[in-house]
Amino acid sequence: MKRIYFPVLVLVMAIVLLQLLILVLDMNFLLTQITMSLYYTIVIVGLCMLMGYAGQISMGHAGFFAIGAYTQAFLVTVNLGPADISGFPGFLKSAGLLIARSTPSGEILSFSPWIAFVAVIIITVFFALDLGIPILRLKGHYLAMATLAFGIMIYTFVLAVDFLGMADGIAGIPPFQMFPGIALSGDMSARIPNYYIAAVVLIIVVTVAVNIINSRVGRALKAIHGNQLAAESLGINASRYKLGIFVFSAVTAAVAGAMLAHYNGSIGPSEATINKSVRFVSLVAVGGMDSIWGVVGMGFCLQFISLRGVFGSFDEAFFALILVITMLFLPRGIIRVEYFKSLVAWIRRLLKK
Amino acid sequence: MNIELFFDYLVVGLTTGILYAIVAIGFNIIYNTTGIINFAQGEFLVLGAMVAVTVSEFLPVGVAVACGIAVAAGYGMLVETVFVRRVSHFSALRAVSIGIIVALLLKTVLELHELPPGVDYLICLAAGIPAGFCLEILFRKHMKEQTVLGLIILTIAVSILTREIMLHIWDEKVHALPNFTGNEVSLTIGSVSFSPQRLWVMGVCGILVVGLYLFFKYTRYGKAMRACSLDKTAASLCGINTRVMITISFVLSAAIAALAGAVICPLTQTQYNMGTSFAIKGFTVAILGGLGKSFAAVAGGLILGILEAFSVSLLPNAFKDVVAMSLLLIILTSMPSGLFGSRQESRLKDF
Amino acid sequence: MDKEAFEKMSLLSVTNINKHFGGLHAVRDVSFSVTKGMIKSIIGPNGAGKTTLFNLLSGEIRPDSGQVQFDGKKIYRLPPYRIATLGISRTYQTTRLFDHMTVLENVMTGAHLMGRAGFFACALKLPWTFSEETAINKKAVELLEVFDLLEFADEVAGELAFGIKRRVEFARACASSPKLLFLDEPAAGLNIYETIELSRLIPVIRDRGLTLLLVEHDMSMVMDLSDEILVLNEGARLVEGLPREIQKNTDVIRVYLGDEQC
Repeated sequence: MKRIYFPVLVLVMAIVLLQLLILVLDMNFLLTQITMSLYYTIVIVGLCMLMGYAGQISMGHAGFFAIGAYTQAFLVTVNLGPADISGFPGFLKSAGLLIARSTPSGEILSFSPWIAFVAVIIITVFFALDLGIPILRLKGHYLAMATLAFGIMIYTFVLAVDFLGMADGIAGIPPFQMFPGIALSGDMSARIPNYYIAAVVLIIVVTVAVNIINSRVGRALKAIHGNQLAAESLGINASRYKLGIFVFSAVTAAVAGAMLAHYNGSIGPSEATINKSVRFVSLVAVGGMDSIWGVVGMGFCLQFISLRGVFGSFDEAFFALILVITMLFLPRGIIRVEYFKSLVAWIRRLLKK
Repeated sequence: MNIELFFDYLVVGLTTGILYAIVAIGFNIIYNTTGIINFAQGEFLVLGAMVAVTVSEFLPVGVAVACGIAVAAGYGMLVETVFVRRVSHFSALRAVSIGIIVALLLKTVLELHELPPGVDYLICLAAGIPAGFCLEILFRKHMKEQTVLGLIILTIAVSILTREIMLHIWDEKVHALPNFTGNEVSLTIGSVSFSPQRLWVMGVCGILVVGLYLFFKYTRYGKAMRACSLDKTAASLCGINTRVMITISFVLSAAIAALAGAVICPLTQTQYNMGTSFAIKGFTVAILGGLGKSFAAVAGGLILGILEAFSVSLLPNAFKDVVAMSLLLIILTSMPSGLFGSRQESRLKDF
Repeated sequence: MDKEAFEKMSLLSVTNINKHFGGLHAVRDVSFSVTKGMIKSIIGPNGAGKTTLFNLLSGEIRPDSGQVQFDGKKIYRLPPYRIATLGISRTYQTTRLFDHMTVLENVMTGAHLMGRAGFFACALKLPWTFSEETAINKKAVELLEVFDLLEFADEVAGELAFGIKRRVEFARACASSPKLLFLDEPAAGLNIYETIELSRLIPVIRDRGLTLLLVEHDMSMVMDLSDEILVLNEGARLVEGLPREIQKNTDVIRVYLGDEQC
């Protein structure tokens, strides 16, 4: 049984080795983009569970990412009043639930990041349930379109609404003092701790995913994907399981969004576009729809390459092309054992001649 | 709201509505013959308009529009042949197309400036085309594993790819065709005035809808396509070449979308990323009428167009898209078979 | 015996069940019952409504009218997963295995109802889930033994031969220890050896405590195994009774062979 955790161990080692390697090569500046890539990888792990294991497509996952990021950003920057207020807000402040921030207009109170984080989870669950219950009955392109519509609605909303900053988004997001001594922020001098913060969250999410896959729930999900009617005849309540994994993938995306908002210090509507949603889908498709490790590996690498700007203005085109090629030729993903086998067999045949 | 404003909104609604209906009819045509939703439909519309704009700079508008339609139709055929066709025999065209796109991407990634001009293109082509062939040879037998859902994701990806290519051929600015016949108000009914371009839109689209109806009802090809949509196997047993029908459906959908795009271009201008919005709204309208029911889409289109136009009086302009999205979600969750579709029929459809 | 007492003895009692598909009256006023521990077969010519009846009873289609009682509970119009929880399991005419899962996983999924672990328990791998998983695994392996499938345990289900797939589906359906098992044409597509093997297995399964309701065309198997037979024709109950009675019944013969002298 422990062997299912072996890849998790490999992942942990890889993360530590990577950091040490970068330290040795004195390329610490790369850590920023690597950390961002880690957060995006968290999103696609959740999406992989939804698409690959449960077989439900979501073309609007950037919407959940944005819900998380914007909720967190808004609550920690909202002006609840001057910092020296007394009475109930003063009480909350001393309890640590509200925090004083210094802004150009003086010291003001905003929600503490932990409160905001809890709010993110509650709000995301609310949205996921509200959306999931009616639309998870749909299949195929109807589901794809419904999730797409959801994504567009979120994007339109954050773009149009004043208190979310409209086209500029929300900036000036303060650090997230998670635990004494550990703060999540884009602070250049704290690159290494922040790298590990992101890595730890990724490891937790991946471990949870591995746990679910290798359990009764994981079998139920795979069964629903394989043949929903047969699964139901075995007592599996398909609606409930689909909803559960949908909420899980939504919360995962939102948490990643909230944390990335702190890391970047700002959030804008560009994180909620269709392109971002399609990118998430591409990364899952390329990694192998139902292979967590393929998704983690390929997703991380591709996202990192993209953030490095290697593709310039063709970034979106590149991901679209990858998705096209994957869907055409490798409908079950690039990292699949069978492909390696057939490649090896082909090489063998060539060598025999 | 006074009566003049009411009619103004109504006219705007009817104009955009019939446009959505044309996009929806395009969806339906392709859906009927292949069972997939071609998300790139919106890009055909924009492509037609963009080409028309460029050509109109040195040729008369009528010729420009015709060019737009031709290019879009050709592109529609390319999309079908290269990306959609589920055949597992070797397709050189597909290999080359993929190879060219890969080569173009390679060119942006690798910076080979020191070489004489043109040589860097050649190098990238030399790398890209074999890559395309490799993919084709090694993996074409897996194409049979494609699912309908995979094809939908594929068309979404193709639409984004098309959009990005258009961005790089043209630019991110807004372009417009000149009005076909000038801008003086040409028709006044009561207190409502119709600009000539609006009349063009309504007229052209109206004729298009009627023409398509006649085509499908009375011509040989139209009937053949309807046969394909009802039962592909039976149709091929009757001697209908279903592959050609599929290609024709793509070409036809692209052409009508391009014509619609060109004709509305003077009014709403055109921008490289307008396609997505049209695609989703067109899909909403297609579902509203009942997926696959071509002419119910007209009713659906007019409903959405009018709803959107009137929503401007209630909601801020930025929320206009939300109207269509909400309508889509409401329909999908309450009556996915649409206004005119039948519940049992849609349950039998295989997704 | 009065109606109530009779119903108490029946594990399944179906009363006047009806189903229309548009203009087609597929199942007309069918009533019958199945006693605990019995092997009952439903036969009839093609198009008689047998599989539709099964689908109505297992919840995949909703009946237009009628009443169905299982183990004292009304199961009329319940969704399939609820009916499964109450103790009914089934196989399908076209085997519906989970093609991308192994044989062992398929059967373990069949034992889904043996467990209680939900999302949180599984995500956090709470300690009590371990014993549950072990029990499910043990049950699955035991069933693979009974069905002679141990050698295929780790094979991917989709790549197996048809006869093996059938057995896997049978094993999977037994994994939840159902009280009543529906077998939809279990012998269809099997060769003579596989059919003999199937005929051997069915009483074995019954002796483990299951009641079986079959739809089947293979007459020799039906006559050999069944305690009772229900004959359907054009959606309606034609006759019901013991195998030897059915064999001699002239209506049944006419319906199958036509109106000629036999």
